[in-house]
Amino acid sequence: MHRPDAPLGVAVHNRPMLALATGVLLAGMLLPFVAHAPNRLVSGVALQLWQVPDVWSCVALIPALPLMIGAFLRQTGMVLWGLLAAAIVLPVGLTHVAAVSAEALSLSAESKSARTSLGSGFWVMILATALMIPDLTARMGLSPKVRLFVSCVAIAPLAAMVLLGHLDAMSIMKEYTNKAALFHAALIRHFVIVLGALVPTLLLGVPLGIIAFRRPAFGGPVLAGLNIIQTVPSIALFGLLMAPLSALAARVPLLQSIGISGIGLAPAIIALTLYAMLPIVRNTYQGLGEVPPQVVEAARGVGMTPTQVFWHVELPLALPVFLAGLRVTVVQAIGLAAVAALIGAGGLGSIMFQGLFANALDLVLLGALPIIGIAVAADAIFNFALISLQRTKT
Amino acid sequence: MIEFRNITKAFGETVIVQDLNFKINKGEFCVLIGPSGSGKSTILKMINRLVEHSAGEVLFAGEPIRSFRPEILRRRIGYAIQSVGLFPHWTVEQNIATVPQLLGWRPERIAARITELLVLLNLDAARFRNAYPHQLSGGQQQRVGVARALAADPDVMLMDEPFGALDPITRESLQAELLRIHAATGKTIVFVTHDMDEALRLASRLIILEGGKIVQSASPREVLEAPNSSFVREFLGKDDYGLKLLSLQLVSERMKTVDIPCSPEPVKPDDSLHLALSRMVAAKANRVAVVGPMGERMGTLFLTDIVT
Repeated sequence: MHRPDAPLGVAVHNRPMLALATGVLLAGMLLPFVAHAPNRLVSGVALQLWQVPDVWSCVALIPALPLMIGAFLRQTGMVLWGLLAAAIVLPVGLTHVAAVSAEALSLSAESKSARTSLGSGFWVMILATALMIPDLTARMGLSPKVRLFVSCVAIAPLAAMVLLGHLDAMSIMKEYTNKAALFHAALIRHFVIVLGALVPTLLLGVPLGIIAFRRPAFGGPVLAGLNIIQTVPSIALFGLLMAPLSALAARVPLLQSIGISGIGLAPAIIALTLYAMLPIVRNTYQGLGEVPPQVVEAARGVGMTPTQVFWHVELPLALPVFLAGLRVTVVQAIGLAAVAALIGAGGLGSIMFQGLFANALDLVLLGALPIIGIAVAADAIFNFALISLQRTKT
Repeated sequence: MIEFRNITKAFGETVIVQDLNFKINKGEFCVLIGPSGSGKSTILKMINRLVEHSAGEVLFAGEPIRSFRPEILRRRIGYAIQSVGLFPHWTVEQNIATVPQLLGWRPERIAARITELLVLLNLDAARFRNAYPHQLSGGQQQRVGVARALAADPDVMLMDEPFGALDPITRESLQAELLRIHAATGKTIVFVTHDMDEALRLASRLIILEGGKIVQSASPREVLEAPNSSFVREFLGKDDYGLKLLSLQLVSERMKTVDIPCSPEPVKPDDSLHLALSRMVAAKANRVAVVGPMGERMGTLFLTDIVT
């Protein structure tokens, strides 16, 4: 591509890559890479990448150079694959340096309660590379399956390092080791809360969306009501549910005996269900509304029964819009379930809040990172499903 | 095959069709034509109960249509609408297989039938069988629509402005194919259109409608030669009415058995006078040679004989 504003023949062919690679280099040079503290309550000393006790530390930054140079090259297939490889290697190297440094620091420290936590520089560099990879795979025009596979390849070495204990000297992993049993229980609880809200949402929301579509007089008020619920802040909704539920539990012993009370799992699941209803009902309704009326008439005209019209024609054609709603619902529920810890529902949120109240940042991360990870994974899976659906149709 | 007895249809207060009586015989190609709002589409949809009549009785194969379950009735009647009626999430093959599948045919029989229909409609099976509707041109989509309507070999086909969205050239070639299919299969076809040229070309009988009433019901030629009202006359087209008439009359009716040299490209006895006139005008001649199927000279058609 000829660019008149590049008289020397130097042209930027990939602006996002240039911005992200510059970000990586600046963060690597200027921001603290790790922080070391004698215990988890004091803030500790920030160390730059070149200050950590690992002589090879700056080598980890080398992949950022080809990424930077690559932004100025014509984005051919070869260049893109090279950039992708560099973007996958970069976080692996950084994580490895962080692990080695943490180990060295903890050996030299006086007490066992010494902590090495990851600094802002590390997080900025990881985030920047995480943004590079989808941009590159999109430019390469890879199929959804291959893109999903590339993401897995990028994550696999990091996951392996965590699972094989390579990062055990790091503060966040120490928090994990201390609280392993609690963490696993919280993780399972988190899934219970999310699925506990999703199942009733689907069982109620899908039929409600269908009825709203068939009977507009009924659909309008239902959607308006759900819209109002959506505007109530989550903590307020949890609070609003406490009083009626505890009153109900006090009146009806049977409900109390199956675990329903003003605090705990019941109000959390009810509140999440109420939030999740709107996207499900609305997108079921909209999805059905987008099915061309001529197609439905043709289906009736060739002799499909109303049930067959629904299952063979309306449902499959409404599916993409419905899945888009389910995606919002699931990602939203995974995030909101964290807040449910405030009313004693448990889940990863409880670890996060423990960390917040104890001013232990790594404990906050131990709760927050898995929530982000699960939400991103769920989002990616839905994205993949949606793209695959569209591929077969358009 | 189909009979309307005192049919009335009203949506609430609005009466669309009032006290309608007509019969469509087996093998007829019956075209319902009228301006928008004349009730032609409603009448068509009353046959397969997509629209339920308010009063009277519709008979299908001698039995009142209300004695069938709607789905059972519809599976016995082919139904084709504009191309948008194809199922966008199904391949050509699946679209055509719809009714046979509803009827529970065996897979081998369905597959064989699909091949047969793709051949009948000049669609390359290898190319189109597994294609999705959006990958096809408008004309190809419409062929698939007709194939789907024909799939279970119904006795009656209902077609609701099926070629309305096509360009003139594609429309003409599909009209020709529909005529060929009608001649080959002898199916009863009920066809709705608002295009008079299409109606005159296809119909063995025209039913002209205005405001939910039948104005005239006769063969295209009878309608052209004796329009029974100013409405029909106007609907036929004031300006090219004469040319339409010519397009329904044959060279054999006006030719003389004389053999004199003629300059235009010769015509055949079963060509229309419209074509013969066109050849004369194009060649700036006042006569055209008439030749038989083997090219043998049969006679001459004179310009003066066309207009008398």
